[in-house]
Amino acid sequence: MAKKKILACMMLICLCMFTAGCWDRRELQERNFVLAVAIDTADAGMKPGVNPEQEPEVKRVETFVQPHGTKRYRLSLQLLKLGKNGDGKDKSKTYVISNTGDSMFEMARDMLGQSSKSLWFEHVQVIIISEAVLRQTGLGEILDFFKRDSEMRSRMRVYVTPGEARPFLEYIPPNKEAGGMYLSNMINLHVKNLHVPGKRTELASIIQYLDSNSNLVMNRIEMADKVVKLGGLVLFKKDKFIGYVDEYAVAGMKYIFGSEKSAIVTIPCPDHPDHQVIFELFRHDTRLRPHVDGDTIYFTLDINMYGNIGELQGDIELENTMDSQYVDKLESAFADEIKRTILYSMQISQNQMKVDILNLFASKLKAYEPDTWAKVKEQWEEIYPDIPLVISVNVSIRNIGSHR
Amino acid sequence: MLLAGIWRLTLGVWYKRLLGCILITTISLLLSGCWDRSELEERHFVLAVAIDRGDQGLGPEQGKDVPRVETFVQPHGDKRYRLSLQILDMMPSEKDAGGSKGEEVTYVISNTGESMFEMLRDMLGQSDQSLWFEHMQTIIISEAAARQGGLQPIIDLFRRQAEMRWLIKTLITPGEARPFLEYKLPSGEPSGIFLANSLQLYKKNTHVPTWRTDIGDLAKSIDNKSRVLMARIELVDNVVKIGGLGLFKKDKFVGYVDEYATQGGKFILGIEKSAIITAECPEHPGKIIAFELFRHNTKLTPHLDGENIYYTLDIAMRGNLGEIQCGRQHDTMDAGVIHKIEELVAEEVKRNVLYAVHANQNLQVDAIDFGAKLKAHQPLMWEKIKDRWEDEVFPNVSLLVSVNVVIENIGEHK
Repeated sequence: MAKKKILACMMLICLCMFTAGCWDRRELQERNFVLAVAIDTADAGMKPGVNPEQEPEVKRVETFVQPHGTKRYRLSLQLLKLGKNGDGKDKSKTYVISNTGDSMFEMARDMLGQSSKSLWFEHVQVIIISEAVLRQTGLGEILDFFKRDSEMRSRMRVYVTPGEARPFLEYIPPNKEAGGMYLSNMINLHVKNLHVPGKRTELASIIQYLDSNSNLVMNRIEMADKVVKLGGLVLFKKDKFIGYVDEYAVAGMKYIFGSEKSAIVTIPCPDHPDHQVIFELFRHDTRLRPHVDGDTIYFTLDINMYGNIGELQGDIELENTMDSQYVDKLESAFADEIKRTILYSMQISQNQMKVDILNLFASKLKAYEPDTWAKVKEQWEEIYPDIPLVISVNVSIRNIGSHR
Repeated sequence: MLLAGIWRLTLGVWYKRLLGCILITTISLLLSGCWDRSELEERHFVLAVAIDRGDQGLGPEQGKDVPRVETFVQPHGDKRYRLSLQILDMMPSEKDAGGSKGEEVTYVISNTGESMFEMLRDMLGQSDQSLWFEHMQTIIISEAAARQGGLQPIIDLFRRQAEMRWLIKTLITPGEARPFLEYKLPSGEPSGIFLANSLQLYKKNTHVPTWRTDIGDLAKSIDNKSRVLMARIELVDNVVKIGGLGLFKKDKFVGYVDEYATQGGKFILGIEKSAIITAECPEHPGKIIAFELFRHNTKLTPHLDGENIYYTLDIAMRGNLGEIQCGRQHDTMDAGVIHKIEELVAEEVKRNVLYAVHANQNLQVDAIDFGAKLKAHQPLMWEKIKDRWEDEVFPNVSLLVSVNVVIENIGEHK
């Protein structure tokens, strides 16, 4: 009897081994990978090339009858073509479907009616939001679905465009890569490109700032003809869109944050104003500290920078970099320029936009002077535009990159 | 007994230490990776650079918006230059598809600004991978850009940066520079590589200068405050042609010298490896006799006659009869006929040399190294006149040419 039981057990185990399959498997080609998402207002972002007469018809077919809300947004998804695209004419590796509605989740689910396979959001690389949408509603509302759903990865990039968002999904990168991948890789170069904020702009950071009711920033992306360009920054007060900040001010903000890994600083040569001299930053030491003196709060910013002369567009005889006095002169000129850049972006942040970017100053004050912070935190928004920043910059040039 | 115990104990400690060392070594061997690798396909190789004036270089179909989007807000200077980069397309799928003819293997991005370095870094906003300049082949500069601020501001970055190679070829074009980057070769080769390779054929093509036209030589010439040479390139409706020479005085653009004068300049410098010298047959007008140069011996010497400077150029040339269009009317087996042709060719070389000298003298640019010769042979005289050499002295020096041509083979049989 015992023998039989053992035999049965063994057989069961053997059977388990042979018959066990991957019961819940999903083949790769049976998924539709969403690579990029674009969010427009409902009346923007039509499919390119649609006959204007048929436009209302296309719109009607795309969408669905909605019990609540209005057609406020257009959600467009870029899907990866997994099959071999053999025909030479169409080089795109992706295609775009879109829908209009109010709830992102509802639109995404209704879009299954335009797809033969289920949509997978786990590889979404980038979300592009048009400015018009941001002017309509706050960011929190738009991103809620992406924040809540477990399929979304928090390393997604989020860009804002002044124009329509959908054309970015239809853009074929010059190297014929899938568009979403290309767009998300662009931001990785922020370490070398001073004109792109880069840091703290992926979905996770944005959500973190949203949840903590803090001000946030995003990257601006623009497109004209076949040129797609990342540069500049989009400023938010809490979740309200405030405006764009140009590349020059982005550089200043990166200096304040100390988040630049490399930088190019240009100045006109102190002796010959029509010649440009360029400093290439290699290493820096940046320290922002709050100080309280009685009732007044002020900040000090100490920056030490080390780097090379990157370019000198002048005459070698006139601008002799072998001359240490000339190099000293350049060092102080570069320091002045960095100071000017910082003041420029402070002016934009304090006077023009009246936004404490990423709550940097508030958080420093909170960390170093918690008592003062407790007193002023209610009126911080009114206080911030008048807070003085004392800047001291020290530049030292290590290599000149020229020889005799 | 005790001694043996201690011995074993110490041995044990040593043994353990040794084992530990070996273990760490083995682990580090097995675990070490390439922490700072960057894969080939994760780099964007820049093959060629074109520098135009700020308002040049855009196609007509690109509207008003493109320049605004491409560029950035600039604290200093203005949008003086347009920098365009040709980038190699590394997507493997394209190559799998057979790389059919006319398929684009490169693409171009561009930006406007004043500092080259600032533009380069800002262009990262148009790229998804970092840009690598170590395989850059060619720089094409438009005449308009060179006229604007001289050569020095344009090439400073390329000499100062460690990533740039000194053997980058430089070319100057009378028109716009960016179209060369967009030029599609019938062979499908990237045009940056094509242009650099094409310049290498200067040994056989006397119409292409390529003596000292690398970025390294350019830098040297500018530092020595001497003249700068650049090969001229032109593009008209899908025809690209290198020929002739752009001349710079220090770093200011002066003018072009045609193919004929380029050849004459090479004769003076003695740097031709091979040459085709054509002359008209005196007996049959309209028929051409061509001499193929194989070997030569060239000597340029300065002479002083009081304050007067003159040069002598002795050239001995050996080669073959390359072509006689009226060959049937001449008996090339006859030494007398050959001798006559030799004289004819010598006369032609002389004319060519003098043409080149005049071309240089008219532009007041010493591209034929007369100054260097004077400095080497007559250093005292050079000290006296070096400050006014190119402007005053060089345009008036005279040259005595003596050419001796020997035809070795006639390439004919009876």
